Amino acid sequence: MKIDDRLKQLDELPQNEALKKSIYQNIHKKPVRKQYQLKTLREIGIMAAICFIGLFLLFTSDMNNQAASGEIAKITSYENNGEKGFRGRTSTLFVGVENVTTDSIIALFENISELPAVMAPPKSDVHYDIIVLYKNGEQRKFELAWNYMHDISNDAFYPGYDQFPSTVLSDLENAHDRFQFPSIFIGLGVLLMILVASSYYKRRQIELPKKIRGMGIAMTIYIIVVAIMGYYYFMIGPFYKPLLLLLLFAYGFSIWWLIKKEVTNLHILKVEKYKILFIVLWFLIGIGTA
Amino acid sequence: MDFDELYEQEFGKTYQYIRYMVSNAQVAEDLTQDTFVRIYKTDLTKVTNFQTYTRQVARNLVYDYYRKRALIKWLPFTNVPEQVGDHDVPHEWLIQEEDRKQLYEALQKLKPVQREVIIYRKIEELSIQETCAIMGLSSVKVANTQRSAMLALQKILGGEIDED
Repeated sequence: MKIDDRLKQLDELPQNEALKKSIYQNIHKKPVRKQYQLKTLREIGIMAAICFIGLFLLFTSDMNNQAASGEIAKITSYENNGEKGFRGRTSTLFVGVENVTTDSIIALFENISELPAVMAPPKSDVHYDIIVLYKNGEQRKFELAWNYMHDISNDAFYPGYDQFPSTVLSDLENAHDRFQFPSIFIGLGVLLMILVASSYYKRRQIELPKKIRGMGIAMTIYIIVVAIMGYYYFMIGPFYKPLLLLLLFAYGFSIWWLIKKEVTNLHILKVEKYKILFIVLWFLIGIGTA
Repeated sequence: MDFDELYEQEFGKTYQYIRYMVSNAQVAEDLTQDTFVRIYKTDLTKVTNFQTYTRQVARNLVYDYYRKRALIKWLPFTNVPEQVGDHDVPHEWLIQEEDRKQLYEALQKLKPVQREVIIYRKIEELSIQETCAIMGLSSVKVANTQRSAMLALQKILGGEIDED
């Protein structure tokens, strides 16, 4: 007899009536817990927590006290390549802000009163936005270019770094000269992941759900957030890294939340999970090295 | 269709599928119960194909169990009873006859996905379309898996297989 025919006899596994009855009774005995309500509450809770942490970070990120002068606690710098406004921040958690508290730079700012004041020179597009934070909480803002140093807090001008010891410029350059993950790689990585996933679906002939409920709203929110981020970056200042991480995790969580509700196939769930993880990880590396 | 009708109609095949996929009798019974508990909690008015739906739920639970088992194997300090696999005993009916026993043992040597395809296609004799719907795979993939599974069975058991 062929194996195919022999296998058919396995379809007659005797039905266990006692088991059937006991499972039926167990099911009807068990009160049905409305798990979906708990799940929804949990997910809303996570979203609310993300929002609150975001607001907390936003409002506590750049607090400072105004007081009289004293010793220097920290000097931070932002390399401004023609971007709008003063972009210096006191925390290195902002993208592009570096700690430049070196001996030569401390000496420069401690002896700033000894520098000769000059007339306002023509402004340079490429300059360093520097914040000097004193131990008593006072902070002073400076714009340092090759031909001038503008004390923004007191609206005074001094000579530029061409007139200072060369260690000042080299310290500034060294601080900003670190490996940065090229942003083009992030775009390419995301594109590659999307292509790999779609070719996998095509090869396996897996049909994706035609419509994912809530995706339209989510995309609108993402676009608005990206637009706000763009406006913030070009008009206000550098991004705060923890807030970027928060937005990234919120994106990963929200997109996973939407997709897992609609997929009908475990393969899609698996691929989408890896896709989201990869994209989040890729951006994470980008933010980490920024 | 209400839950009672579905339970009456699908219980036997669901238990049979789980019993062949999971050798441990107690686990098979628990998974069968979990399958119907899940279905009981579902709004059945949204379900279009009850047979496919029931099998998909059972399948998901079986694969969840495999994953957990694979994880437990790697956990240190796990109690002996939790080392699943020690109590894998075939159903009494299977060991009553030598041929059934041989077939069952050969089936257990296949990869889970191959075993699954054999259960649907050769034991229950479901169509390719029904199998695809349950497993979420393309017909080509199902046909290829079926072919490789049958060849593997032939290697273990000897004898002939249908070439189609």
